[in-house]
Amino acid sequence: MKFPKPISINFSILFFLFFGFSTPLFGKFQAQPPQTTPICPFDHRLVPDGLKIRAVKVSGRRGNNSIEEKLTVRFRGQAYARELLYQAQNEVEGALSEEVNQTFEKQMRIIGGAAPAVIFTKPCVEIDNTAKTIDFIINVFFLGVNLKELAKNILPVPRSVKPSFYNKMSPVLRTFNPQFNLSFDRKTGVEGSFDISTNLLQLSDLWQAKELSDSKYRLEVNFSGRKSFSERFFQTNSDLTFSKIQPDKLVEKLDFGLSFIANDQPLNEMRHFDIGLEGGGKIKLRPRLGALNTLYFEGKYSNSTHKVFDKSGQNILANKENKFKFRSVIDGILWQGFSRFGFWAESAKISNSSDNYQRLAAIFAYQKEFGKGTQTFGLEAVVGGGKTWGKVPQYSLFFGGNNSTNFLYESPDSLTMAEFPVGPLLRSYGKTKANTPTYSGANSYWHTNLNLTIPIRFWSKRLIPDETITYSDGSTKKLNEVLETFTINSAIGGIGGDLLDSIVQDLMKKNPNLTEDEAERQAVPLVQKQAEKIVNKEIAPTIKFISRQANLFAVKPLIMLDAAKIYDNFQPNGFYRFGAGGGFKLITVTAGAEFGYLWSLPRKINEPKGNFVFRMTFQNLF
Amino acid sequence: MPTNVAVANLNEVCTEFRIKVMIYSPESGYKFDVTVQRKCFPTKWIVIFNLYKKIGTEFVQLVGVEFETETKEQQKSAEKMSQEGVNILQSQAFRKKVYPAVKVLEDGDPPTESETKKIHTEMSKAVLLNV
Repeated sequence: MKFPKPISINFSILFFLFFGFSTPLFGKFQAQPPQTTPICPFDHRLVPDGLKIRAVKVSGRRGNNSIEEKLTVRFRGQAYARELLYQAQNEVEGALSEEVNQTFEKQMRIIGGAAPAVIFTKPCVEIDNTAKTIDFIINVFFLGVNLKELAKNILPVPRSVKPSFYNKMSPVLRTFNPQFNLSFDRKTGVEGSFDISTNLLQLSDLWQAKELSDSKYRLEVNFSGRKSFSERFFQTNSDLTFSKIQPDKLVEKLDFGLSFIANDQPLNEMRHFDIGLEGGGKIKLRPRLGALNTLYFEGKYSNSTHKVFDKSGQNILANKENKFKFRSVIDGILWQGFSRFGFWAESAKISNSSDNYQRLAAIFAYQKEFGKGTQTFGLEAVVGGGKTWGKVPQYSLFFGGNNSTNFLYESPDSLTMAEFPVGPLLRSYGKTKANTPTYSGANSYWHTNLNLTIPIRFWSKRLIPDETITYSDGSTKKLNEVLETFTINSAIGGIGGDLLDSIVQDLMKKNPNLTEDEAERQAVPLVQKQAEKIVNKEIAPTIKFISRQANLFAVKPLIMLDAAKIYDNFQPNGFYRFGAGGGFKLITVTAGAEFGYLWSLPRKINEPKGNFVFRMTFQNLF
Repeated sequence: MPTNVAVANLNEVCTEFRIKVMIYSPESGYKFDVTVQRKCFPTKWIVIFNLYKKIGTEFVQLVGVEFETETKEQQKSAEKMSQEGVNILQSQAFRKKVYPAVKVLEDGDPPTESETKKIHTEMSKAVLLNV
């Protein structure tokens, strides 16, 4: 049995990355000096006279230090007055609503249009009885919708309702939007990946935190890199893309770009090195129709060099090839869950040879949370297949293993999604370790994979605090219900208000005796239906998910099942492979992780009995 | 003159909060937002209308209107707004009636009595449009 090589990672860095970015989660457990009295919710009757204001604290995620300092400087030393607390509350809301902050919110998190963001603030105070001072604490809940990527709205991904003051945060984070991943696999060992992207047309404004222009054009530079810490394997993709963005249109985004790629990846017991240039275009369509919510189509031409090395490191194959590549990704909402369909096709011609080959692959994946409230069972199902034609070089044959990293959760633009699938997903094998018994590589395959997560009430905390608001008639409502109803209805009200004018004018043309008020009242039911339809397509499912099911953190036991069949030219009936195992899924504010072990069932002779899988994604750093 | 005596009831449950609706852009260079605020002990419902104008590259707040509900009907309506959001008619009223009434104050001069009255009337009408 082969064990992975020793890993030299500074685990304190990992600990910081995982928990350090999640300070809002742990902030409340910090020890409080005994001489202080918190009053939360705020009750002015409990505040004694003669206090001086010491500080203003804001419960934001990123960049709140700056607004805290500004308000503290302004209010420190002043005699406490209730109205000053409300002024501080108003200032915090104002800073979040500032146009400069809104443009970052719009362009970096929600490209595609204005989100129905709602800001809910709750004041609290903390009194230092010894020093006779009072701190103002402004608790903020911020509900926004990611209109750029549907998946980010309705999948159980790291999220927060604490707002970010983008214009006050680190320029590096704001400008380059970095993303980190860590994963472990028997074949590749521990791998770290790093993605950055920025808009060169607004680089200076991003860096200086100036208001971003509402330009339709972007010149994006993106870099994605992945490197094994213990093996020589790596993957890089650098691209420069010119984009046109048209929010609210069917054709939402058009891209033209050039990419440079260089990879050194395992190929069963061999190694595949490739380097090349690619150029092409991509179109993003937003019909917003159920399972056809967002469609990506990409066509590319590539020129690349490929080398295959055997176990001893000897170069056994060297090719240059020209390739036409096509891929599409379709994201949608199906049976109130998230669905994604990916399709890849390519046709390649080997240089200085008459050899050519074609490949097709497709993956369909579905995610849904079952159950009520935040204690839900999560189901993830993946079905995929691929086939080759022609004289296929070894590096383009299929090999099963722990291959595709995270089809459901990746951005459609990511490195992983752009790659042609290597073979069936069989997580009980290391990357590309599952071969046919003839060791020739597969010409076709299919696979199906299932993940089931089980909720444990005490291992999770809901995203929106479990608070209740009592109204004047004695009735009570949960905070999450209030935020959900308020946000959805206000979105309908706002959109309906925009649509109302034209219908009122039509009604008044048809019946000149109608006053404007009468026409408005007649138009409202018509407009209400139209606005509801628009809001229910995208905004309402997102807000409902955040309000009802999203967790601030959750640890869930995970059951993993894999089945696949691979076919080669020698055994057309193919070979089955099965895997089963368990582990845990973890979600916090900024990181998601999956880890577990899968056994091969039954274990094949000369094959490992199983594989430890580990994947951690740091995202949502804003 | 009637005498009002208020006695604090410490068992009364009331949480102070503010909830802000999305921002509206009634015309190029201007924006406004609407906030519902609850103050406690005694409970008061306030509807806030903030008007901003783009000056240079920044939006600067020109006017802030705090409409404190007085009648039971107004209080009930503001409370309902805080739960159910801003409906179509209210959205239209804030844009078409309240915004022009407030915009006249952009010159920075103190509001006249008639301007204040007009704003109060339009705010009251807008708030009551969800009853």
